[in-house]
Amino acid sequence: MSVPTTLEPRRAHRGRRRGKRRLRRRPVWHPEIPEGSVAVVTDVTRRFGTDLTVGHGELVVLLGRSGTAGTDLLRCLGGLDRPVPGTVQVTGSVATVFREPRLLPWRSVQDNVALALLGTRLQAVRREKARRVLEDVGLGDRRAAWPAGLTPDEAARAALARGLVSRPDLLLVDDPFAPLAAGDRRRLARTVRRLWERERPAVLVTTDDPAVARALGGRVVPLDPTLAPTPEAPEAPAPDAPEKEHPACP
Amino acid sequence: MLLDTLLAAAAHVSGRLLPGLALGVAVGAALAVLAARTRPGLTWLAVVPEIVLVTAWFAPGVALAAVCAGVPVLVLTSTALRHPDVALAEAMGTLPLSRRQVLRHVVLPAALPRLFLGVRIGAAAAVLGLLAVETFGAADALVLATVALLGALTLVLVRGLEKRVLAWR
Repeated sequence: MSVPTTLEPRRAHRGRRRGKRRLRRRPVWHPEIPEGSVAVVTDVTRRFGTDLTVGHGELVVLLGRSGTAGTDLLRCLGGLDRPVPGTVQVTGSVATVFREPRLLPWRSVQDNVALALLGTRLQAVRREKARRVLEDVGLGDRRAAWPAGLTPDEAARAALARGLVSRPDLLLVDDPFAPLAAGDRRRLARTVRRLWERERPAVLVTTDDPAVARALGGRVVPLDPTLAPTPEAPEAPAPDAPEKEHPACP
Repeated sequence: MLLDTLLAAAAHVSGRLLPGLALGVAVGAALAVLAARTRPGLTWLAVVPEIVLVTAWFAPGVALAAVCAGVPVLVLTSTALRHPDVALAEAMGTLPLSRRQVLRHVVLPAALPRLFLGVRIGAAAAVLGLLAVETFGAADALVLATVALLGALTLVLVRGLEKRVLAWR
């Protein structure tokens, strides 16, 4: 699909919404994206510290300590949040890999991945595609496992497979490396790199680990560490605050 | 002789308990899907003392068991349907799923553990209700013992079924 879109969540002025309805968000068509780009973020400097254009097939790493604007930016690109102020435009299909795996616990790993293909009619086709991408991410022998039985590394890989299986034009990867040990982080980053080289979707990754950024390669965009994570947050964490979430981070 | 009496009592009780339980669970679960969309909710139903229905002779036998089992199933399932896991719901929102697919693959399976909890509580309530009926009906001690025994057996069965369906836990 090459019709340009602006992903604008429509919940902002509707007050409280129920969970089930929130699932029904759909992109709004918007024809203002330059040729050769898959995502454009403009006029958001005050919130994110940087404007951003992601080209077709480009790998971009947003490098900044956890809690900076990377996650917010990805949520805006994925249509989950609205950038205030500024505009976010995306063309083509988007898939998101969250920081937590967010797998459905009642579906096997393979069925979780196949869930992203429910638009495809034949179950056999869905299963086969899921099987292949699971082998690509190194989970070929864990297809039948329940998510509860996966290690953090395996769960992150399963989530990555679910993002990749629909062959999106833009893959948003929101630091799934964070909960992993240092060695697993770099291995997962190399897997992302390898699959990006093969499939060439545009990939936008956030991470706070320079080693992960190096393993990923691609264009590195540093994020301003002084920016608050959200406009509502009173202040950014002090620069010398102890890193609580990622003890494995060098 | 004793065996005949025992079998007759078992047939008498299970003929009310099991169909009542099945009916209550089916109707309770179906109503829960509807109830999840209404405001205010139906949690107030949980305080309806089913035993009152017995004393009023309003609902003997199968209907009594169905009401006793149906209310907890309805209340617990609709509560679960109302409060989906926000992080999971958000992740599913990024996938290309239709409303029906979301209901079938995400919302309903998420409510299953609560539904089974409702079935277990409901089965116990149904047994109590039947015991009350039989007591007021002045049945003999054997029937009362059989009710209790079958009630325990039903709970074991439900637990087994739950372990199988919810293997992912």
